[in-house]
Amino acid sequence: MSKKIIEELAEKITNSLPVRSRLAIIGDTGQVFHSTLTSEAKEAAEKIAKIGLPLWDVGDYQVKRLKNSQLLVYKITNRLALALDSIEREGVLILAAKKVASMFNNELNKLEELLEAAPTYEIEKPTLPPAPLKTEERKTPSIPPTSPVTPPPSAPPPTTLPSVKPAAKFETVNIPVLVDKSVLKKVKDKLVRSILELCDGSHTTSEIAKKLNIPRSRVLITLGNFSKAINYISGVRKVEE
Amino acid sequence: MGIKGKIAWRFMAEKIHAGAYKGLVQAIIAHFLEEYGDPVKANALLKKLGRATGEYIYTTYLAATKRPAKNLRDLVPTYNLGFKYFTGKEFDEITFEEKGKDVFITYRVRECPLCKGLHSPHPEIFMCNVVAGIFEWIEEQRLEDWNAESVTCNETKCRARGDPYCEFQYHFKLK
Repeated sequence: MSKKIIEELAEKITNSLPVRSRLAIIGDTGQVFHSTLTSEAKEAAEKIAKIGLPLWDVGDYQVKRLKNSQLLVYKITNRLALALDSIEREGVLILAAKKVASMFNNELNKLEELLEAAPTYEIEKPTLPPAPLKTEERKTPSIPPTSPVTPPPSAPPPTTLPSVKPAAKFETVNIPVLVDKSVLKKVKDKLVRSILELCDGSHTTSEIAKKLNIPRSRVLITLGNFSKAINYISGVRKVEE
Repeated sequence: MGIKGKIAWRFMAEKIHAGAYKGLVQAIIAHFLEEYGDPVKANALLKKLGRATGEYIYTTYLAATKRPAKNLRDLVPTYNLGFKYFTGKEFDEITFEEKGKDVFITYRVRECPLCKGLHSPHPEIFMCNVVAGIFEWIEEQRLEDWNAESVTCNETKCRARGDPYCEFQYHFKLK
């Protein structure tokens, strides 16, 4: 079905890249539609795409330093990411991804539509369900005590109550990303360094605090001192029960 | 606010039109009332929205000013700076009161830019309660620093419901 289209598009993208790079096209649940990445890069790209795509805007990205290369995961459409793995510098990779995004905008959007239509590509969208947030708090019209309660003849009283699935819980999240890693060289304080090292785009401030067993305020205030080196990915996510 | 603060507010702080914020608050309150029909709940939900905004606001503030409060008393100038940074206006009056293990800090603003021109649909709805939620969330993160066991912040007066000023009151319970 869409496999052939993906392969053709991937080939076109590869040929158009101004740098030598391995690439992958990844969906927002981490499924890889095309990849020439190494297994290490592929695994990292899957994880980043899965966490980042639901939160990012189109054009947002994350760069991860691998052993011998740099991996860029770039949100190229609403539900697709382009991963580039290359020895080139971060800025060059970002420019390359931007170029791909503008050159293949139509094809990528069409591909996304095709994938959405495919039955194998089922994604749980992070949107609020249409059900009320808390059904038990909804007001029901009160019935005056004098009026007799008579069910309509066509509707027999239900023997079992319909099961109401509770609405999912969502929370606002702010995920810090250390975009200027050169600051790490200047930091001598071990704790500050640990905080900054955890700003890898996959930990919220609350998770960083928990991992280091420090108050969240310490993380927030520390990151405030590195505002030029830190970017935040801000969004909403479902709270795992 | 010193000259640096004034320059920061004028040239560096990102701004949106106050009308955009107020229009959104109006719509949110209308939605809560329509959905739940209960002004007390609508008011509590406004505060909940503020709490959910807390981290975003606090990180934005810290990135811009690099000035977290150093102690409880320092919350007086710190919140004044924060309010100025986000709204362009300082509080008109701030009181700090310590009664044993209870600390009360009260912030008052007469021409509140957040509700100026708005009219509360019900006396139980304090239209700037979002701010109280933000304040409460931030100080909850710092309880350990203040050696406190709990903190609450509420909007206790609001111009939108006919009060002469908007008032936000912190209550810290120290350990």
